[in-house]
Amino acid sequence: MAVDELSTTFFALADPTRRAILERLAHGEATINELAEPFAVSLQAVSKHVKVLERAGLVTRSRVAQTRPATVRRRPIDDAAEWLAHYQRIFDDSLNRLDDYLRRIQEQDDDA
Amino acid sequence: MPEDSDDTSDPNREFSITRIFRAPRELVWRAWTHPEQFAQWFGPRGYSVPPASVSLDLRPGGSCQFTMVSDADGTEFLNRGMFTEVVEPERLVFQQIDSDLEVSLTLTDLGDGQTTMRIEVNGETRANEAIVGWSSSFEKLAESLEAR
Repeated sequence: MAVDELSTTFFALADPTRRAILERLAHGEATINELAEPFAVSLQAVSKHVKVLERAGLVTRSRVAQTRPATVRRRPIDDAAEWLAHYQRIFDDSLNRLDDYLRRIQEQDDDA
Repeated sequence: MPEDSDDTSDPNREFSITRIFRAPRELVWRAWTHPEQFAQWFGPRGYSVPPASVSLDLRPGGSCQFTMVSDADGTEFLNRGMFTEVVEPERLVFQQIDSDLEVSLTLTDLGDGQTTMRIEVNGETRANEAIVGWSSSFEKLAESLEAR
């Protein structure tokens, strides 16, 4: 996944209300009205948050029903998680190799 | 095996790794800051870093660049960053340009030929305000998605 897409994913996930919306959607599709219920924010605000999530590809909205219920897409979230895990692995692996490397050059010094 | 610990107590921190190496601090510093040495060990398993791809301009504002090449298919991953703090031989901070993550390295001389290395990857920067406080809720989100 391109870094730009990841940035969009991370940006979309940065907001606690948007994360809460995603968690709600994880239990099944919901309309803007339904999404707004548990939050102390306006319908417009929720609608805006859903738009950000939609642009980031984290949510799709039905074109069929008039209420256009939103559904979560987990692919970008999986990609983001995978990227972070990969990033951590780079360091873990590298430090194992560094450990070997430091040992090796010190043995060489001892031999010399 | 060096000691390893992960510290996730600070929500502003993406992750951190602390290890103790059986090597004097000067040696560890050189392994990080000399391109030909850095190329010998950096990268995940299955990747190599061509020494010629490494350029480390060790001063605040100096660039830090290298390429990781997949041993399997030759795919190249260019890493570009900028040093924001350079305190020889104990502290190095660089900002990745593409991911916008800040990586800081702190070396502590333990005085018995051993060195503690602490790496912190911070998500405090612009694009990664995103990651702040996100990891734990992501876990929850992933779980609820699994549960569907």
